Amino acid sequence: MLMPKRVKYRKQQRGRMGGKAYRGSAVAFGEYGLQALEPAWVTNRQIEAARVAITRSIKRGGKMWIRVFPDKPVTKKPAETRMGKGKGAPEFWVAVVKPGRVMFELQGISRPLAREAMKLGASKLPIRTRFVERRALGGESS
Amino acid sequence: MSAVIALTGTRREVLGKGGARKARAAGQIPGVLYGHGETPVPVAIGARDFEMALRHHRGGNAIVGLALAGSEFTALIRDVQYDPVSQSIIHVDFQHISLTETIEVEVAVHLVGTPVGVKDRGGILEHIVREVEVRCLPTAIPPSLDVDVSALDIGDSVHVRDLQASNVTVLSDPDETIATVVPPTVMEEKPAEEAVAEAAAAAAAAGPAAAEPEVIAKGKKEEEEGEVEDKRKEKKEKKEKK
Repeated sequence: MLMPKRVKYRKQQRGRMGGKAYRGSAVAFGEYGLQALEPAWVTNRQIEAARVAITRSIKRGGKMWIRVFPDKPVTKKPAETRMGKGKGAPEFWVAVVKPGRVMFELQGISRPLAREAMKLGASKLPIRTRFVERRALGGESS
Repeated sequence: MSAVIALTGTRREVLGKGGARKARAAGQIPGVLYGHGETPVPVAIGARDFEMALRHHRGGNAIVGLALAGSEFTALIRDVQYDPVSQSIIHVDFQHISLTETIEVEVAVHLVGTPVGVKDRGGILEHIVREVEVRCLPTAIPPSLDVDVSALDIGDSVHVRDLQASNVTVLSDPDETIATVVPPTVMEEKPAEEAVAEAAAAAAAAGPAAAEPEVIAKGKKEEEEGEVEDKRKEKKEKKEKK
């Protein structure tokens, strides 16, 4: 499961998820991508489930890139605990995803196969997504 | 080389974020015209006109004849910014050029054919460099540089030096790899029970340390915790004395 190897601090504050993902919003490595359309915390389990679904779908052939990384720890207080006594223990890791972020990319397979694989991967994610392709000026597809 | 695309624009008077937003709300695309040693000019182009004019253009480098306040500028569309969600064009950079002077542009590399290593041996064609930098006259910019990859077997690759381009000078590193055919990656399907058992064994072997990453500022934290404990002890002692 994806998580950082070293961190400076064990716990983080929640923060805000405003705006759109202007960076990382274009297909940069492969030919096809899966773009987020909503803001969300995507957990490392969800990323792993999507990765497995996509890899199983394309079976062999093709190359995949995961362009989100869960580097934010989420803490939880134990069940039936009174309030106070400090912040809970880190439970899992999330990637902060903003609308527009290309989360997965594929290369080396046909468009219908890529579309199907991304559809299966998207079903493992907690947000609406869209299948996107590499863009060049004038609507050319490479 | 495609023909010069005619476009009509207006000079943008209200500048900055507010002016650009007003232009977009009025169905225009804010942009800027720069280059050729001239002062940059903020412009606005009709969004519909721009999309219609470039609809049939192939390749990344479009040359436009931009009519602006009674004069016409020959310009290269240097950059186009898109909204990440709506995918509409939000800004365009026009670079003023002369049709008789060479310019440096990036041209897409297209792979032609299916490699032998992919067709017969199940390899994967990896397209590594998708654009190369070339120097040429604006009238000679090719829509793309095609490279035949049908003879590639597993382990073979094509480089920038293998590109055959007429009327252009390729500026990218000749040793850069454009595409290569790599062996197939076979995913091993394990039975669910076996996979679960393996995962459990791995977790047990790694211990609790694997669940949490190493904390860089740990030393400092331990010291702090020690101080807190000392204070607690002092408080207890004081209470007992009372």
